[in-house]
Amino acid sequence: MASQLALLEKLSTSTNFDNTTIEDLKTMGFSEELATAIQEKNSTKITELLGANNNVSVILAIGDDDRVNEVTSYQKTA
Amino acid sequence: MQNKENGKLACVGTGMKMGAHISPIARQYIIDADILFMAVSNGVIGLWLQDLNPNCVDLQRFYGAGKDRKKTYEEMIEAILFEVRQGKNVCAAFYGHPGVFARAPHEAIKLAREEGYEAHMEPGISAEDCLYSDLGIDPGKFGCQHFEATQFLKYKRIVDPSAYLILWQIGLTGESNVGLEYTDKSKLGVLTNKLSKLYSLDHEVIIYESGHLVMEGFKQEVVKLRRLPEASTNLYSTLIIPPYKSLEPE
Repeated sequence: MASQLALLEKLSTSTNFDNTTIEDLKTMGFSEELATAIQEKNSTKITELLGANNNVSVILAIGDDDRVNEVTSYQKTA
Repeated sequence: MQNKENGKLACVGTGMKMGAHISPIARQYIIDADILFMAVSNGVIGLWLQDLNPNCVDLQRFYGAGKDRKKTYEEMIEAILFEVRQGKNVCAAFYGHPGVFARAPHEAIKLAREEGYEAHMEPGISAEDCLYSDLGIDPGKFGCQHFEATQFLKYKRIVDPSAYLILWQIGLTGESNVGLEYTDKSKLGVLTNKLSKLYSLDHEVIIYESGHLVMEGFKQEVVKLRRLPEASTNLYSTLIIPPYKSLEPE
């Protein structure tokens, strides 16, 4: 049986998400609680039900980047 | 132990929206890796990646309150390279595009190559890509300039007000690179003051954020430039300033 996350990935490529009902989601294999949260577009509840980290703070670039004075160079291809 | 025959690195983008914005080959690199590192924008996306590859290390562990983010990124790079040097097939997955506003992927690939390892990047659908789709902006129509907000504030840049101006990481404007401290109204006020030399304070600007999960739409808040300091911003907010002046023929 596919995991709830695998089902969520599958749902992510649906071209008809807005017309998807709770019953449709349950038929796909989602639990009732998760199906309800998805249909209600309740991201907070989905995060909670899946036990995901609700405190993600990731930023990958430095504002005042100290590399600005480097001479521009492009990486060689591998 | 160093194993340059086997050790390799792929830095891949997960795209912005879980499952929908990742390329097939990036997804396969995640699945095939001996070890997966990840830096994602949403906890559910993190779980999904762990579901694809359970041998997963969350790079968020390297952030810390009061810690210089340059140090954080150095530690991320070192953790990734350590596994490459062990001869492992390493994948590092970053939200959006791994080469856009992302220091560690570029540096890790550069270092791995310098040490003789195979390393490359696989793109993902970026916030910039989503912005064009969601807001109906064609960067080719009037032209488009992009700057990181803090860098824009710090340096003299030549801005063309007849083109779009896009300022990234607006929610961290004027930040000190220490930890992940949100900007405050005073710094957005300084930014507004700088922009007011080029744009009317009544010019409408857009604060944008793309969605992360299938059920999430994008967010946009349209405000007059003078109201920018009071606008709600977060880590993933981007400021779009539409053209203010007409193009002038040569």
